[in-house]
Amino acid sequence: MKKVLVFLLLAALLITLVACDPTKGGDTSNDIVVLLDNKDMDLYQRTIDAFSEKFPQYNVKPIWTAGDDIQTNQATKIGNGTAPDVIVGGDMYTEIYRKNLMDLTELIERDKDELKLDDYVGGVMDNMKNSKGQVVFLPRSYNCSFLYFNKTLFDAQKTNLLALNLPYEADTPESERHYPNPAWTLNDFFKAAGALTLKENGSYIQWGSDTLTTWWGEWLIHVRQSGGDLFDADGNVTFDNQSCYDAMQIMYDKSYGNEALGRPKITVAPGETDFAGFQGGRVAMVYGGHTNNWARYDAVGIDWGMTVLPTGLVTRNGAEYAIEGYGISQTSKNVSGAWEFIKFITSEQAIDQLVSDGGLPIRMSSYNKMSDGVKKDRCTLAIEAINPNGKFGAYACTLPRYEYFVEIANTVATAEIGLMMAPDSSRISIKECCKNIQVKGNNLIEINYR
Amino acid sequence: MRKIKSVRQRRKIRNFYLFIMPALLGFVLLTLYPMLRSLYLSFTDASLLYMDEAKWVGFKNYVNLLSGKDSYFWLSLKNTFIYAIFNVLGTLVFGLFAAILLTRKVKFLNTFRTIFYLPSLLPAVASALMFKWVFDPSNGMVNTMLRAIGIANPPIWLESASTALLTLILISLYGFGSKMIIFISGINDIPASYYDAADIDGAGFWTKLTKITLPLLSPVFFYNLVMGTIGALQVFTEGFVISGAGPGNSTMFYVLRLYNIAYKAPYKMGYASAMAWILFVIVGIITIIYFALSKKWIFYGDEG
Repeated sequence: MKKVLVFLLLAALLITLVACDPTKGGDTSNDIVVLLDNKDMDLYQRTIDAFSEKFPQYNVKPIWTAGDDIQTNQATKIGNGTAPDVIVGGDMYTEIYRKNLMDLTELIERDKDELKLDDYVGGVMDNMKNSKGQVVFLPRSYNCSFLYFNKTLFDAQKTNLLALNLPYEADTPESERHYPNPAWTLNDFFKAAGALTLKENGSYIQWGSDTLTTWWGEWLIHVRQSGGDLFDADGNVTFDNQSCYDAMQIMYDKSYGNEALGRPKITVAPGETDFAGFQGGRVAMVYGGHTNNWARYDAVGIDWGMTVLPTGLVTRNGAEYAIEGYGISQTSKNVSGAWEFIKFITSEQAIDQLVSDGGLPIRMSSYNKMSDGVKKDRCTLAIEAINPNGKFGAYACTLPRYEYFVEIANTVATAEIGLMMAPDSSRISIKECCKNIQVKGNNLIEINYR
Repeated sequence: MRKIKSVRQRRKIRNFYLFIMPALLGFVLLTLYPMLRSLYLSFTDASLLYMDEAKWVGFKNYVNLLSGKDSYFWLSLKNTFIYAIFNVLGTLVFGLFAAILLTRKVKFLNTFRTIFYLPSLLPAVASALMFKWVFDPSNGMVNTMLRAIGIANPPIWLESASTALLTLILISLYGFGSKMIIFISGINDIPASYYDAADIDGAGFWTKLTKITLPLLSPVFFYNLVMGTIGALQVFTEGFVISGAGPGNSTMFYVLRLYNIAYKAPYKMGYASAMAWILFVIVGIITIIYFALSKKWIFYGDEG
């Protein structure tokens, strides 16, 4: 009996070990498994339907996932040996997934006529390479930071704003001289936001600006515009310096004001009402933002505009430039299908669909098909902004590629900045915040990555 | 005759193994194997993204964790211990108090028991989200009430590093119902004759509580204490759903940190496995201490 028991236990163990073997992928050769954002299910499904019509031999199996969970779920599937055929990522994932992604260089060379690489805006393909120079993603969309503003709120304060004598470009029509424009500096931004921050019976009823401390999309811009960066050339965290102190001071002053520097309180502090942010219609500006929000702003009916970010303390350069891309897993059992799929989802046809749904064109051919109007103007600005040889020079900066960037930004920097912005006794000083980010960040790098 | 008995015995043994097989297989496949695998991984530099390239690093992960270099390890441990101490004490006290009240002869007893127990049945994520709204500093129910009674600047609860952990502890006390049910069951098991005898001797409520109820309830209290501590040290949902470890990592719990290391960047499965084993040892030591101390204060009814 004991022998039977031992046999059964060993058999069970063997089954588990086989099931856990990462080399035994579960997909058949016709399947193309990919994790997709369920928020954009409708658009993706239309693309999948069009793909299936063109390539009936392949079976696309989307795993609909909440956008915030895609990377975690994708990594978990890679870890348990069921990596999706198509890996969703982008420029900042080229190093994180460096051992999981196929080198697409040869396939791209083979199909270069079909891919129309010259059709991509702003040299995005250069950002799809890993540190070995291998192209590992095909790009589908991108984000670039801008200053977004609510025209209705600006118009309501037009007289007050014009009285501030804020600068504007020579060719600006009179009706738009009170709007944010490329001539603005950070001081102008604070002045305007101050005029747009309104109180009634002692309570705030409108904010001049939104603020974001839970993501790098705002503080990293201020750091870069103040002349600093999160990492030095060797990949170490470098935050305990004057540029970062200045940037953190800007973050702090937005929520609490700073008379000495002529910065009024312009945005929500912890514990105050945020009026549901820019989309709520009672926040006048967003510093940075995300191009994915364009369709959401339109959906809630805000009359909004956008321009490049004001010039910071040292430079205007520093806007986030991040590119979404699709690659192929090295363990895919259907490389040819996955290749056709990522070509299709980044093709002119798919980008046309994305643009018609309010997205930003990453292909010039899709941009050229747009009708003239506000939407096209926004896209024109975005294309100019990411062109290093264009009107705004090196305005747009890609994110750090180090595989530890996300952890340092989210676990270390965001938390310390949160403490620096605290409204009570838990607050730490700006210098403490910057020092903590540098020391704790470098400790994590040493422990986990070196 | 002897042979027949032997066949029966063998059949009995076979049946025994067949009956325990589902549980045994479940234990081996879903508990023992993952445990052994994670023990192995804890001595490697395994990454979730390339598990098959894991290299043996000896005690490096344990040294890095315990050396103090990883300040988040100690922070998460501290947060977890603070949470566990107050959660366990709070739920034991509330659970016991409610059980004593709900074993008295009052009208609508079962209704009250159901009402108190109901929160324990709610999915943790649902109640977590509900409390996120309840403690919203601007429009939440708690601060609206505090303002109504004249407190102009109430705490900002989950939005301050000073009060976020306290808020999660308060929220966790909501789930005392499961302990309450076990206490009620324990109180109902105490023979009524003990109380009758005490009544004859003229004992009051307090005397009966301290001399009969609490001593005879001590094994149940011990069970709730051990299970409550083990559960509290594994707290995850509140930090994950309500506070996201913030603000300023003030609600970064140990298991949440472990999860973030393993399943988010940096995807360090080896390091996270070492964290899991350290927690296992901590829980083991605390349980052993509880058992060692239990001899001094637990009273079993059949003891002389």
